[in-house]
Amino acid sequence: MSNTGTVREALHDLPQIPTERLLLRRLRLDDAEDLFAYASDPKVTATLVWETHLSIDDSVAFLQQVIASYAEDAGAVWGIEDNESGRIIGTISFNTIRGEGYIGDVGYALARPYWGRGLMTEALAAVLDYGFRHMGLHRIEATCRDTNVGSYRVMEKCGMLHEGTLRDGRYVKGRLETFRIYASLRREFGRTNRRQG
Amino acid sequence: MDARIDVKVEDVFGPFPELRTARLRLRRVAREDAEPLYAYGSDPEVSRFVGWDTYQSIADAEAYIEATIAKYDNRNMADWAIEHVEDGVFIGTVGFVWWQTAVAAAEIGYVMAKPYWGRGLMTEVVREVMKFGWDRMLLNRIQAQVQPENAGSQRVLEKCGFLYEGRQRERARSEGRFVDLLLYAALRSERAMQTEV
Repeated sequence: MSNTGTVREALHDLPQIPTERLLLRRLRLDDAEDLFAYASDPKVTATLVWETHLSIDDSVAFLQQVIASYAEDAGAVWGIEDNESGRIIGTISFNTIRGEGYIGDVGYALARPYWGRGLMTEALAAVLDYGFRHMGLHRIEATCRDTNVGSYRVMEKCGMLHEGTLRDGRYVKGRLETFRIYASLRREFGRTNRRQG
Repeated sequence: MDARIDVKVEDVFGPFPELRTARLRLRRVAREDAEPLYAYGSDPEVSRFVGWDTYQSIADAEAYIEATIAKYDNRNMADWAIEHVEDGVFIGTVGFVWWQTAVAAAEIGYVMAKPYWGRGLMTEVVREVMKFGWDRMLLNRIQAQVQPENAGSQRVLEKCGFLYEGRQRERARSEGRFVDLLLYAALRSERAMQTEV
């Protein structure tokens, strides 16, 4: 009855996922500079739960952690590589898998120069597709700060529905903030995916 | 709220704190509670809305009691037994499902034997446990998740000043199927309205 075996298999060596303009792939230590370029940008991290990277060491430490998780078949952090520049411009990940392996929650970040072009929508649609079709997930959820319009537009364009709010639900830069809860169910995904918005 | 408060679980729950309301005593779960616990734990009408499966034998009740006693011994957070003072009987349990000290948030859960439903007893319990959450655990947010068909529990939460935050579709597995969960939460800043009768 549990789906955890399927999840584990689908995350083994974390397969790469190509999209039209992007390649979602495993992160490497030599991505540190690209990662630091946006993870140190306070405008990128302002609404995110993780702290702004202050030095490249923070980026290296994050990468080491992610790379170690791949070896344990427990890691689901994809680097988002831009086909045009060949650089890592963001990450997208399954942070936790719960509910007997049927429920995943997804999070992402994108470098500021790449905002507003539908790139994150492309990445999220691909990860939802991977989660439902290959990982056997039943429900995929995502949360973001209620003021982060850019982020929840991405969720909406991918067909995720706004289910509720989490008042004072998470710490962001030392303050408790309200988050929106979005989710997509497997049976809806084919119908609502890639709605133009 | 904008400051992290350092609260240690073992300082709050060790030794395990007993609470008292007008009609009820909240005390440690004891081995003598196995029979009345099994009586309602095996009642499908009681267990259909909780996060655990209906008890099949008294061993299921004993296993819960042993696990809970181990928590008392280790100064961990653990459930309270609800004892009806006048009748002198064990009628249910209440506790926090999780406590994230980093965000000063916790989720409350409770269950009560059917003969005691409909008398406002659980409302009395939840109010007292909320008070404990605000004053002793220094919580900022207390949340609860309840199945849509569980009208009685929703009424308890509303009487205690919880606000409805949304409906999470098919978010949990219960007895082999996916069920929706309604999200409710009470905030510390709303204490004034929680004490209304």
